[in-house]
Amino acid sequence: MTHEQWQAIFLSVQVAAASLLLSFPVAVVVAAWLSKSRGAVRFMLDTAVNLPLVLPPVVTGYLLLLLFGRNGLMGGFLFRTLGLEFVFDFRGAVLAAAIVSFPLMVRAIRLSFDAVNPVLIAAAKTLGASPLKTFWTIKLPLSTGGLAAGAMLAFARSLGEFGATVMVAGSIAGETKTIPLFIYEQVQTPGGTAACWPVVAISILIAMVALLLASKFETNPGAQK
Amino acid sequence: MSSELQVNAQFGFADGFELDIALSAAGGTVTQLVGPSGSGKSTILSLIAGLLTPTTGEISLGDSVFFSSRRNVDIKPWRRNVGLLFQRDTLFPHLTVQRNLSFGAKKVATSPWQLEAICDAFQIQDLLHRKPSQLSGGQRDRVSLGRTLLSQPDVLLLDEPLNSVELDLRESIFEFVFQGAAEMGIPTLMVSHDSSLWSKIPGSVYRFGSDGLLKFSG
Repeated sequence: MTHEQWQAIFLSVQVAAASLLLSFPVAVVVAAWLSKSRGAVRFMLDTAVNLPLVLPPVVTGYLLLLLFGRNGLMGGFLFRTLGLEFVFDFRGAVLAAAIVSFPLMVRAIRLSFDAVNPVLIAAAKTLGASPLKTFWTIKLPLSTGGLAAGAMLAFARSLGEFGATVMVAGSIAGETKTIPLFIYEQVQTPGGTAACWPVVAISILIAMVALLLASKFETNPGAQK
Repeated sequence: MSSELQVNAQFGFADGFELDIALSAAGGTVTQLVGPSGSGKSTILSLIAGLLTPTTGEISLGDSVFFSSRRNVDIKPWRRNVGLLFQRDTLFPHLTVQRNLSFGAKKVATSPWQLEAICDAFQIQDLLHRKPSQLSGGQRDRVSLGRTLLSQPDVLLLDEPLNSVELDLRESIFEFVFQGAAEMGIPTLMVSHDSSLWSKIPGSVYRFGSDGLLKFSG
């Protein structure tokens, strides 16, 4: 295996891990809120969260480019205040992966929250536990399977992210050229397909391990009976 | 401190059935709720605990008003200090028996409901390091009741308690619980299907009639 192949693999894992760290706490909070609330605001948030799931990734990438470009609303602010840049940068690849994988993670976590037996929550309340204490001591520990499954699914999805990443971060070797971008470039290069196979094999292996772990974690000890 | 539990409330079910409740339970006494399944006995306990909200009316314990539609008061369940023993198993499956017992436990030096005394009376001292999945039905019933008592509630609500516990042990546990409640002046409200208990336990009995109204019969 060449240096460039390993570089694409390690970069993909780095991007997926960073996007997971970035989006996981937000996903837990959003999933908890969606699991508890009803009404129009919930519907709007749910729709917004799930939008990247149905939008073409290139469209998601284009919107991120507008928002996080140096002249964008968020990008301009972050550049002026913290000096952070996203376009053609590792951060852009992380951001794209985080946004695209976010709905999968929220869905898995929310389902595991919903599956916690409501009688256990009621019992915690009558034992004097506030909603926050009930969430930390009962709901969250009983949803660890769903949390882990959501994280694994999001990790696997981030590894395969292409459209949004190429729009925001481009394809810079060692910086933003992840596995899908590497494979795409090799296919475009005459005689380059041979270099794809080891990366494809490792990509499949990582994704399979992630999915296997996700399905293993899905069992929820506090699920309703 | 002895407080009387007063419930004068209405509750409308989703199917249109209206439950009209008028009951009182004096501090230190046991009040039984009896009647057919689905008549609303467990609903009354949930209303007192704050897990359900009455349509109208008032629920109070001594000077503390838990709910009043007139005064727009609705105290949250975790602030009512009501000990509700559910009919269904509610032990937290990820916690050991010991941690289940300490969940919500309060230290009240004058209370007869202390961890050691409960472990002794309920015969659960050897189960402390087990998870609920490793317990039998009777053991779960005993741990659940122990957890409820250790929260040192101001009112005790028992929904079909100790159904899976053998008769001799059940009677001795009831004696321990009711004696403690009497000492501390805590009203106990108990739902029971077991007609053999109705006459054995001293106190008032409220019976559900076919019209859904609660009638005093003891």
